[in-house]
Amino acid sequence: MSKAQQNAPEMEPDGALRELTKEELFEIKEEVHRISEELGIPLDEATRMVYEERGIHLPERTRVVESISELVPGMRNVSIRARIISIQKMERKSGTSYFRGFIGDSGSEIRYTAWVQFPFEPNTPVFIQNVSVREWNGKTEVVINDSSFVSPIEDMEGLLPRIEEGVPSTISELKKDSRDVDVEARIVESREVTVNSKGRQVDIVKGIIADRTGRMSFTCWGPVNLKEGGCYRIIGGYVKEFKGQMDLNLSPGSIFRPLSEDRLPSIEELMRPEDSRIINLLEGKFSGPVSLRGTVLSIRNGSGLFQRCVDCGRRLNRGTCTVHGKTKGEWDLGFKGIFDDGSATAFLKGDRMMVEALLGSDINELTEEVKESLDPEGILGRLEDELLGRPIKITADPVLDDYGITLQVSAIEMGWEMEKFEREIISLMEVIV
Amino acid sequence: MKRREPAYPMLIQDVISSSKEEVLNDEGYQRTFFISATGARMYRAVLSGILMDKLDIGSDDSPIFRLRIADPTGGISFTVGRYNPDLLSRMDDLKTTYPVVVIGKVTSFVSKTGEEVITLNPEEIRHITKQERSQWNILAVRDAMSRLWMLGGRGPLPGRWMNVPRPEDPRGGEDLDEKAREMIKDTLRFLNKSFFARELDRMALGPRKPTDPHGEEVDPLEEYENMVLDMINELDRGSGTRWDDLIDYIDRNRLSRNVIEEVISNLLDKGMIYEPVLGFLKAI
Repeated sequence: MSKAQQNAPEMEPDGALRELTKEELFEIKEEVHRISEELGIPLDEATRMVYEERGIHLPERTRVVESISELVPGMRNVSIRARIISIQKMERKSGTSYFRGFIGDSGSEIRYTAWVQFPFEPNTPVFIQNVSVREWNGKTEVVINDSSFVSPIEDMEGLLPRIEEGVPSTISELKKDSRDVDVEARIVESREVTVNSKGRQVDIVKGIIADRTGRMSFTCWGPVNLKEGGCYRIIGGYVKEFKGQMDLNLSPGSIFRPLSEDRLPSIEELMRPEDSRIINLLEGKFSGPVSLRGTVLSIRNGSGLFQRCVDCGRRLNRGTCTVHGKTKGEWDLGFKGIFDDGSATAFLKGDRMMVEALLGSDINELTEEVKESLDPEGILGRLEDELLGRPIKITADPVLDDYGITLQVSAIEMGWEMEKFEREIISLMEVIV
Repeated sequence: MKRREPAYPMLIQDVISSSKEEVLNDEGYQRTFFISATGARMYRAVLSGILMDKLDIGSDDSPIFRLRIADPTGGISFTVGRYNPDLLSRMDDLKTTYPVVVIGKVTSFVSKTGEEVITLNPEEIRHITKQERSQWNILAVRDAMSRLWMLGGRGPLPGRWMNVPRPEDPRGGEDLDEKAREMIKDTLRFLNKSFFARELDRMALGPRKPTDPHGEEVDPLEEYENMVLDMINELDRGSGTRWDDLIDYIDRNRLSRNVIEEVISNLLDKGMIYEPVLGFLKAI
């Protein structure tokens, strides 16, 4: 326990200090004046005496700053109302610990480092007294030390992000590096994960959110109790690219305000493969299967019937596995190609089930066919006839990496729905008026 | 990252009225793009239409076929020769007057009369069904309209799946603008005459001024006001009707967004609806 806390008899059981009531302050003031007059001592001395007699820590003379945006490095003995946005316990090599995170009000937020115990939860409104402001590693931060007092308060007014007063964005409107995110979404998936971040084990929550306009993965850097399937207004956070996908980064200090269940369509409806185009996928804004309309421009050699190593599943090249050498193989089907939807191109991968569905024959029939014709390229030719240049709709799981988008196909439909295009054209009709 | 240039689904008239742009890529090589009448910056294109001609204009030593395809907007000729051995071997399979799809790089040459002619270096030619031909055409129209939408500075497209690579202002001024609109209308009439022709006619007539039985002129927009008010009330979930929900409703019911936006503007002016928050509408 810090020296200041030891001297503070008004400490609550949870370690925080309570504020004196107006009545108590009035009473103290009266007594200070009375003693000053009676003993003929200055008011300062009288004040010290009264506080000590009552066992109350004498507050330092601090300046109350109205908003966090007014804090500048070099300020000392300042006090401010704030909402704790995040708390992170940091361990030092010596075994001692300290806390750091962000505090904020409706207009801005600032880093803090607390060199004392900091027993608060994110989202707690507090009155922080007698702190200093410094610049550390190029960033401005509030320093809370053992002469500071942090007491929880009831009034949240002016401490919630101002964006809450506006209209939330849709997921499709979020872009890489969007900040102060405000979005209404359904939690499609939420799971707790422990990850290693900069050498520390951190408990985080990962999942997927969705609204009518799209889906997005999220990462909350700390524990948060989210109901899977629930609708929330999520305020505070930023969008970052992670493994080629856009990810909404949140903290326990972000606001998760529950909304009524019927605010958004059901999970089943929201998780239907999303109509998209490759140009959108290249932005990384996807999390789940997508529907794309386009065509196959080429099918790579080696597609069709081939053999896999029975030990490791690798594709055999003339009966040879790169790991196990000359070995026994088992027949399999698959194809790789280039898919083009008029906005960009992507690699396409289809497995045995896709080939069987496209050609209307199972692997045994196709193997027999190849053995009879002695033409392993025959299947490739049939795949080309089925796919090249034809309008097709695919459902696929996209993966974005340094080489672009790869689509792992789970369904292929021949042709496109004219009615869908007709509706879209009607919505664009004003361009030809 | 080096990416393969996509093949834009295009209408033939859009391709043949394009202008050439030569640029140096990151590796210092020259690459030729063509800016179409609707603003597509093409390297490759997908064209779909009827195979009109297939003429053998080569010799045994140097086989060359000249092909011509046509869609509702025009025709384009191109050749298949010894540099396309795979296509050359399939020339016998192609039948004139049947629908085909052609995918290839857009290119140009200077004719004997000194005119620059746009053509294709085909990479793939396949026979397709009539339905598939229409599907390619409708995608070409929708993408062309999406480009015009973006060029017109109308804000985000009504749906992300309509997104197209950023268009460039076509060079050619108002003539090209008119040409772009006409070819889209021609294709729409071809694709679904009863549906699109009705919509086009309605738009061509503009706001009508029908006369009521008492001889007084009635603003046709007033007819929609009650309908739009009902729509706003129906979609209101307490805090007002979201503008996005309204757009969805309009699209689902194939209503004209232009007309309804005008009606909403009138209703706002008349004070019959208001915006409780930006992006929401509520009836009084």
